[in-house]
Amino acid sequence: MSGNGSERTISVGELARVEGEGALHVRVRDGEVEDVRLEIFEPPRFFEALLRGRAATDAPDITSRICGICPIAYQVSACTAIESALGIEVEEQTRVLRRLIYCGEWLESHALHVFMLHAPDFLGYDGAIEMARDGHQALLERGLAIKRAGNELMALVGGRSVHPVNLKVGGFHRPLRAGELKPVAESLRHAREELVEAVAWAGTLSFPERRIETEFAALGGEGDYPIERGALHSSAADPIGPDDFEQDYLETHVPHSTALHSHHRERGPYIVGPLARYNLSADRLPPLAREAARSAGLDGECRNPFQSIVVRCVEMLFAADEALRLIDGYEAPAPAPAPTARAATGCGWSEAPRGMLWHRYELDDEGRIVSARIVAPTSQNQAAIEADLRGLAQASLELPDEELQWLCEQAVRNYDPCISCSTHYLRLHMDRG
Amino acid sequence: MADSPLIIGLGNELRGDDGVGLRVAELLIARGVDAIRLDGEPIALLELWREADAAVIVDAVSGPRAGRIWRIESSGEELPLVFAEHPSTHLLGLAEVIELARSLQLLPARLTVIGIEGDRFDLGETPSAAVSAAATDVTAALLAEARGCSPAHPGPTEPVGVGR
Repeated sequence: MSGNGSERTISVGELARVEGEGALHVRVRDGEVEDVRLEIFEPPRFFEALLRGRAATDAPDITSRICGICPIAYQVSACTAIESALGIEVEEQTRVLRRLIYCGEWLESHALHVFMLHAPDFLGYDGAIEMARDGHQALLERGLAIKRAGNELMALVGGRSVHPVNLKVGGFHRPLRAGELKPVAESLRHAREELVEAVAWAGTLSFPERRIETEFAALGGEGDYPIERGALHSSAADPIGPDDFEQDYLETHVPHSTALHSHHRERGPYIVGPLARYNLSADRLPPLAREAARSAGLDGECRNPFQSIVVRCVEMLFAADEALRLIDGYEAPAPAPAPTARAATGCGWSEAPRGMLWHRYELDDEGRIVSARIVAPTSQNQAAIEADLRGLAQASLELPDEELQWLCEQAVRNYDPCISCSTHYLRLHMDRG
Repeated sequence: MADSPLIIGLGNELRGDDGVGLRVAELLIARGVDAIRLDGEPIALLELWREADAAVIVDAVSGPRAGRIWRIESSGEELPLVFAEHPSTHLLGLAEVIELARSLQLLPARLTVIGIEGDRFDLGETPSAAVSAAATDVTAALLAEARGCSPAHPGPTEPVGVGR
């Protein structure tokens, strides 16, 4: 951080504690925020290119390698898109089993973010290690226990907790029998108890004042809190289906980042993720999670991104609770028939932990992928994150450099950007003005 | 004979030399030695080594000499600071995970980190010849240890950066 009297530059050369790597630049001149750039880099359509010519049935496995933290999101979005193209309607119990394993992913992804990446910001530590060394072992152990429950559930239903292998177009290679789910119920019950405490703890944190007016978008309309299906609901417009997504929402290149900025063609930037889901579907949360949210200070709409940490804890509590509910009424689906190839295009989506993830596939009559397009949640949030930072920096200019830098980094982490989904190995420039 | 250590190869096979840890694990499995391929987040190590008294982690590291092999016993002392300097392309890098485990008393009693220097890490790249050769050497050394022979010649003890 440097600058003469009228110019200040905050450069975070490598953003710590975000998935992947990224950089942040804020330039202030004469009391005005002149430039805000969140630099994340995207592979030049590497995965979409990799998919061309591959069997459609390979898409869930290939795309799940885009993200080590949310493989289920990629598998489910890929499956629903290909199933749409091939005219396959999965049976209800398959949808339930997908929703169940997805709960595991929400648990492990949110737990990692809340306890290991974001909590240090709120408690004044540089990272989880410093936090652990300074007496907060119990907090980290709680986070690890919750994450473990999520991983256990994913391993059980998915066959492996890293890159689950059991999901396929049409359903599961080997759907679990009801009795096989009982072992994980104990871990989930324990996690649920820990999470009631976690939501309360999150509510005690100190949140900088901030209000954003950005549009929120999330799946919904199915009567339950959205995970694996729905139409795309918005705080500013009517719901749309997956086939209409790319007409309404555009991706454009911005010079400073090879990631693409997403925006509605008329309305501009928008936000996906926990805050969007909560604001659009909080009334769909079961009583336990709803009540915990209220006690933690979430009352009605939440437009302070710093409270996302509370929302993530609420979503984890919901996920543990929902997983137990689904296990309770579980009936194994029938084995999925092999899909029949046909030339067609299909779109599908689901709510990854970080927000809505959309896939589109064009298939030929031999079942091969002609083209693929993937829009990840972090790409969709980029423009909105920059707008948020611009407003935040402008409102916080009286802070000394070090505190302003901390605040900006903390603000980026409000969005839990999974930079490795929308970017890859980086090269950054330190802008020391 | 002491219990055999848990062997875990870490990495991303889509990124050239970053996949060397996975490659070593594959080679060991093919020769009947138990090993785990971890191509997800290093934080998963905390779960994987929970019941283990000893663990060996194999991962790619960045450094100036592709193919050079480092062997560091890190249960005794903290990893050299340079390991912790840069976050890797994973969320909490290997060094951070080890230090976190240490601060939570979740480290195995004996932990060995084998780092293989690489220089090709871009998405879609194939591994370099030097790194592939190093994978073979490390596999041979771990194979010998698994079969009860004397420990392989240790690598240099000067640290290099971990991750990219």
